Amino acid sequence: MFDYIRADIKYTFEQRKIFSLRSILRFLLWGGQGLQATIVYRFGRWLGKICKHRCGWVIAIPLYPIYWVLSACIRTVYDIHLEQSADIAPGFCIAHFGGIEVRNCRIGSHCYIYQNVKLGAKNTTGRSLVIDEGVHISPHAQICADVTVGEGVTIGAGAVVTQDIPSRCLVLGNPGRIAQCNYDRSGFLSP
Amino acid sequence: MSRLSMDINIAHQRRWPDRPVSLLSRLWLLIVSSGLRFLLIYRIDQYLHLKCKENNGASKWLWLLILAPLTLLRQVVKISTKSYTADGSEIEGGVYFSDQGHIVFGPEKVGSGTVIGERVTVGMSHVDSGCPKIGRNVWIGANCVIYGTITVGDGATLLPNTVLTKSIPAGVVMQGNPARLVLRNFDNTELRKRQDIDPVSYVNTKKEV
Repeated sequence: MFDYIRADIKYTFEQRKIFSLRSILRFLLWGGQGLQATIVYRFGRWLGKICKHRCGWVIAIPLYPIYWVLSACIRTVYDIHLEQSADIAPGFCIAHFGGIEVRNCRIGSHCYIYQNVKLGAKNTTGRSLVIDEGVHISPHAQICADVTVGEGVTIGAGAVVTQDIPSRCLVLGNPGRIAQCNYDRSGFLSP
Repeated sequence: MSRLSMDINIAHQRRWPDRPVSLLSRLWLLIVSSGLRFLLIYRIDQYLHLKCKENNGASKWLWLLILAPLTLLRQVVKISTKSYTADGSEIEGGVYFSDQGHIVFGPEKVGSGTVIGERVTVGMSHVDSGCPKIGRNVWIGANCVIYGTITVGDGATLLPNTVLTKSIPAGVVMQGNPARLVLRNFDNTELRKRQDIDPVSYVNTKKEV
């Protein structure tokens, strides 16, 4: 759990260009919501993993109420729904907060999502949504179908993805169309 | 403070169209409406920061004493309304924010009489270095995204679920993602004044006439 959380913190600081002590303090005061939600999610995943161990339930049972309270707080106060059915690799960053729903999906490392993003269908058909590493999902985007999104894809604001996306593309519009292949997003300024 | 009273007037008109405006009802609205509470704290914050900049020097620590609780208050309001406004944006008087919140707001300038719905995102600093400029009397529906260095003309209407990335002239109606033109020379005073009409069907009835 702690390795995962460390990777998340490292990636978040890297993306938001936070290096000095002053900016770290400011980040904790102003914009730590996404990181807090991710940490609570990791805690829940860790509890789920421990339960599978032979006598892990002895530790897990007293800790589960703490997790429920924390996740309920995150859900009501920040409106970030990171459900346990999602499988998120280390290095995950959420910018802003509000209206984020992630469920029934597999997300690779170094993904970056914004406010009002909805990932994963409510009732899946076996094959779940797969998102590879380094995917950047802009505000108000929705991926509610069981598709595969390739590595390094950029999904534009308000896009609704309904088909498989190959690697390093830019997806725009509703319904989502591939606007550009081999899209380079290094021109992005820091958020 | 005159800006804030304009805000209260427009919110009052939207919420209770048939009730007379009195001091008591205005104060009650300030307590009830979360959008107004958000604007109130924002305006106080901007005003005090301006004052602080004017006489920086000897009384710097005194200002810090005032600004520190205000920062905490802003954080509380940010979480309770789930909306966030960038510091640099200039908001004129008479702007209405939706009470449902979820607004991420970072434009360069917003004119008076603008109505902003819930779940609206304005300005994404990581894509483009510029911020949008929004004119007067603009109606922005729910779930809209506006970004890029663009200008939204006076009296424009953005129907719900619009993603706008290009400059638009005054008095047009836009819809869809990417945004398409629906109607020109549309008068949106009814939309701005009343809460209970369905925007899409209202625009469609105008279109047929």
